Amino acid sequence: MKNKWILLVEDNADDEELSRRALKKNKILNEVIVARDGAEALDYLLGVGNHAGHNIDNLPAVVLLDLKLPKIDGLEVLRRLRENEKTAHVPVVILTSSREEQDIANAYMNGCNSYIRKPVDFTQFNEAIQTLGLYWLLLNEPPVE
Amino acid sequence: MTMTTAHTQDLRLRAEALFTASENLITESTSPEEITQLFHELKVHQIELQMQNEELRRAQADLHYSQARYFDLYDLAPVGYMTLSDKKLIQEVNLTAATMFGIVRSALVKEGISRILPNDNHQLIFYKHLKQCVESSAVQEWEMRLLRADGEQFWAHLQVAPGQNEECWLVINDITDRKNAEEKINQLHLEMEQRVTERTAQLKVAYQEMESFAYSVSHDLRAPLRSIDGFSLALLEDYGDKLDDGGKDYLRRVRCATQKMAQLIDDILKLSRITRCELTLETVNLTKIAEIIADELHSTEPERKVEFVIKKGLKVNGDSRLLKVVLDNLLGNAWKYTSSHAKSRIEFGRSKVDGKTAYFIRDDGAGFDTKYADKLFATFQRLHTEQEFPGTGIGLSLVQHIIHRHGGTVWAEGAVEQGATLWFTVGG
Repeated sequence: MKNKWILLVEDNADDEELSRRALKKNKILNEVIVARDGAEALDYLLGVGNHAGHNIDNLPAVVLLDLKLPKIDGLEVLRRLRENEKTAHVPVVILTSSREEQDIANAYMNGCNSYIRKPVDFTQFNEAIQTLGLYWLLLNEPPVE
Repeated sequence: MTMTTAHTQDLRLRAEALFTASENLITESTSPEEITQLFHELKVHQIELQMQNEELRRAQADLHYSQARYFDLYDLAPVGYMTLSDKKLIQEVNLTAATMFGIVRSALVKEGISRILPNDNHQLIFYKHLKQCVESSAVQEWEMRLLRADGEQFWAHLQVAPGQNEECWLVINDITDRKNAEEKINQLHLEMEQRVTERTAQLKVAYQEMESFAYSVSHDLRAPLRSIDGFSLALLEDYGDKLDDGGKDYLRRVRCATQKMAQLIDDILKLSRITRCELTLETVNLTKIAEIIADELHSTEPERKVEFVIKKGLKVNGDSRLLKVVLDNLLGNAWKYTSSHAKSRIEFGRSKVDGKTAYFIRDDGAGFDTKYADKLFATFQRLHTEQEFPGTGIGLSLVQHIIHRHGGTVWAEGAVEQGATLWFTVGG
């Protein structure tokens, strides 16, 4: 359990706080690392740029990825993760406001594992985070490294 | 006239000379009876000659007349005529043709046909048609530019027909006006196409802008709402004990308003998506769709006593996904606005209105005041309060958009507490 951490790629501080709160409320106490934009997320996961030298052997149990991000958008982050041998199989869940068909199609085409639309109703948002946390942190068997 | 007199005198002299040279008809031995006989014969001859003369004169007049006619018909014909020899020399030209080429007729006669052809390429084309005409003995027609004496060119329609003695007859029509008109039409056509291309490009840009706007709406407007709702809930949960009932009620209202706004955003997106999407036309079974919707409505509130009367076999040509949205909204409205009545009846049928096939959905519910009928279809316009009947006011606006995209019209009839009838046509 100790090694299972979550990478939350989210530029909105409110959304970050609400996500953390929802996880906490649902007793999901795993470590949450936050990347504020697409570039930082890639640097962190691939151990390059600002995070050069960072140990990348311990991949997150799940990456919660917003689509609309500063610098490098979510789809591009996903594409580059899938291109890299190291991160090709890391579970990525798109967590976004958009329900545009094109976004959903593109996300799956680029190899996301799941697509969740953030509901405005926080009760529903809570439920979504709970289900998501339980599924990816407890039920799901991550790829063998 | 003097010419004629001289001519007649000349004839007279020659005749007398001939007479003198001839054998004398009357001798001393000629009897008076014979003389009388001869005289008679001479008289008859004279009359005969006079008659012949008369006939000649008439024939000459006829000839004059037909020459004049020939002149009129040939020279003043509205088309140019030319006779070409087998050596491709111009043998005869009418006045019209000479005028066309801006040259006196005599200057064209005995000239080669190349005189009226702008260049070698035109000569090749001309000779090709001439050859075909001779070989097939059939009239050839084509259009080409011809050369005037002043070096200008003009468009002509040419016809060449086989004539006598290996000659060819050429008919020339000046079609400059027609060609100019055609050119103008082509020009207009090109301009039109250009304009269409420009408009299409502008539309495309507008579309892209709208799409990015819709995307931004769906993404960016939602995020603050989530914060408002999320932190309101956090306040209620974490600091609920510090708030009295009034404070909690306010927070609940904040949350309700956020939900409502989220719903409005979703509706706007739905509307913009419908305006953007392509129509896929097929035969749509409206009856079947309506029956499924009716079943769904019944299952949402099974306790309600609503009778659906749906006409069988209603089929139209349209986009099934969009027409389902139409029926969803119209039947859903009928269901909603009959909810204040203990028993109700909702009918879906077809009728002729002004000779056109129209479909209707009629209910016996709350109805509406016809005074406000025009507001029914406006986006986010409502005739009832949220407390009376919930809704955002998007439904009929969506319906109208979809029906218009199908080339149809939609209208409503009703009266307060006497139900409403929503009519629509599909296509034409």
